[in-house]
Amino acid sequence: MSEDFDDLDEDLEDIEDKTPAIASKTPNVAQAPGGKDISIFFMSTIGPGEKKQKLLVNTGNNVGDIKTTVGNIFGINPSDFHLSHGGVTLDEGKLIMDYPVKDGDTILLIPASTAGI
Amino acid sequence: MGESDFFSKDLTAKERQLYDRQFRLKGWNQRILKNSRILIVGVGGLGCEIAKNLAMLGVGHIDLVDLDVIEHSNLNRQILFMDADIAKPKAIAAVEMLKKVNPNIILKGYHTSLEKLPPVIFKKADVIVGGLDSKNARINLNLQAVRFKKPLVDGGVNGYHGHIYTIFPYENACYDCHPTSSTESDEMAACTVVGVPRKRVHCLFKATMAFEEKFSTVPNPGNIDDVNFLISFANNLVDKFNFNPQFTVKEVINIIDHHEPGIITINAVIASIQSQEILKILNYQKGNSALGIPSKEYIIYNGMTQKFYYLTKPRNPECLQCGKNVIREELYIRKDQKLQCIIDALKMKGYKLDEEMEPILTVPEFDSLRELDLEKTAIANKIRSLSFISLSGFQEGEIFVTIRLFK
Amino acid sequence: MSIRQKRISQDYARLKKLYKEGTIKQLKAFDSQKKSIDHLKILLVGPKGTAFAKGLFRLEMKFPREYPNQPPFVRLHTPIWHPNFWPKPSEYPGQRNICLALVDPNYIGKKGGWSPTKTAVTVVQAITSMLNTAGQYINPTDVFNKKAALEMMKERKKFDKKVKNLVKKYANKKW
Repeated sequence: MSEDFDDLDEDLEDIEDKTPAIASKTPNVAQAPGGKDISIFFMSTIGPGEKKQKLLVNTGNNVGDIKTTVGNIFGINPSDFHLSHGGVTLDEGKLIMDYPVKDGDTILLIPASTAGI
Repeated sequence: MGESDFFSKDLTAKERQLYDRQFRLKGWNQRILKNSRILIVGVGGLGCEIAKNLAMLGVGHIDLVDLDVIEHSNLNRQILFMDADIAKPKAIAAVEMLKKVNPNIILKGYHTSLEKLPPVIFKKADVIVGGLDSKNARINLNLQAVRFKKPLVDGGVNGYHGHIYTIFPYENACYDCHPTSSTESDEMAACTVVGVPRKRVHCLFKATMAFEEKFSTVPNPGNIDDVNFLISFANNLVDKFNFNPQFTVKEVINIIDHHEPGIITINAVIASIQSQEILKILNYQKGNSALGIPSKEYIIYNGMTQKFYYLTKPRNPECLQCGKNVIREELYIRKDQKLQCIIDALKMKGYKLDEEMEPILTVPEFDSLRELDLEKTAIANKIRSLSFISLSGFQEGEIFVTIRLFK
Repeated sequence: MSIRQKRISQDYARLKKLYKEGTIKQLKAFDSQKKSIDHLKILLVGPKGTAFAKGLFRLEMKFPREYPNQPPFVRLHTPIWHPNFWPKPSEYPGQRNICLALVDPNYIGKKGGWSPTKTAVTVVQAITSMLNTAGQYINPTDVFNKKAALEMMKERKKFDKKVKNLVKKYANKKW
């Protein structure tokens, strides 16, 4: 879509620097307010053993962040699994508090197969 | 032979011989299979196995659709292509092989995308089978299954694991009940970031962009010079923007040469379960529950431990496909009518226009949303009978229209 | 049909109403072959009574993957002399060249920023009203075009003259 606006350079020759004031900044990753700490049992359906781990999680946490943490603990690449609660696959862009997750609940690590829901 | 239909006149003597061992199963009904029609979407690792199974079983009519062609790397797990030429369309090659597997059944192959498949093929199927590997395609397939109320027997694999799930529209969760946002595709994000990379992997994608700009072609992961260019460019950025550690050759190749792993053993298990569920559904639909009640659960398979897990997926009452607020209409329009008649027909049905909107008709197409010209006919708009159209502009909200064309 | 498609469809229906009313002068798919409404060419006209009056401004709008949780991507394709726009469309291709909290992904959920309750029409209206510079206060350190900002605050007549010149010379092309 670039077009030559012929005399534009003359008309605008006094423009100083081409600083990328337009460049996007890194957004802050913050914990949402109003979250509370709860205990969750994470259980893996994948890998060589049925691993189960109890973790303290804040409901204001982002699902994607929890996934990365859990992936590190279980030794599984986050792109190889989804988190599932009550049959619902948790959306990485959402927060734990967006789902009816209660203290003492179990969240499963399920295979991120090509169908993946 | 028990209570089976062995002597049914629908079956030839040859067929009776062929299916002899099946007839010996309690409650078996070969006639039901012979009169059934299945649509298999995606003839890859799962699709080939399911098609092979259903053909051997004697399912009377199988439609196969796939827009891909055969690659050499398919042959470790896609048995239907063993005799075919590389680069032959999969759907076509599959039909040729399946004809040898069972000459008694009807087989049709469609080398096309889901969107271009004549919608009547979805409508005529008794069961739709998913063997896809793309999220977008899956969402489109879900749309068709829900609107035509067809069971969608889907499956997926990942490494040594997999899952099977049948969507029974309006009975259990469909794919749109709990949608997940596409995690920002790193490549897409890199394209829109000019300036500061926000993630370590952006450094590598910016390197591939620089490569493409310089050499007018994509880098070849098999060419060490290409890889070295990428490494030095990417690691420059890694240093500059503090995203250590540096990239290694192995890591770069892994990232840019992205193909999913695939193995016949896991595929065979998942496909078999899908196939058995298809059998159960076909019989159950016709009143024969002797093979068991079709499973509504999401079944997970772990090939390392040989354990299975079962999840119940609840429906979402606010679902955009199967929820309680979804409005669907079926309209008959003449071939020579301008599509404006759809708006008029809905007004006559009592729908009220939203004053802040201009009514528009759109057709979802893979990754886009194509607007239809209200001043032109259906054919001129490249839509056909049974096409799915979405309408915006009425106060009641989005209206899903299935059109039926007649002369 | 996802929430994104549903929203894009509705937003486009609203934009089309604006087009039918004459508020915007052009509205069509960016890719004339693909004809997808998730990527649009819009033509805005400078508000009456301002230095930008009668100018035609080519606006590209694209609905991102995460719409409506992320704002539409916007880019002006007409040269313009205004503190909050990058003046030359040939520079920074592919980037948003409009400085407006409403379309800045960093301001989502904040005051003046994007939220899913806003629509494409909100964006079009906001961009158009930015062209009404009379009485506006602009912080010259937080703009895309520093020179124009300083001129606007300190040498108003010179600013208006330059705006009008550029409008006359360049803001006359449709898509």
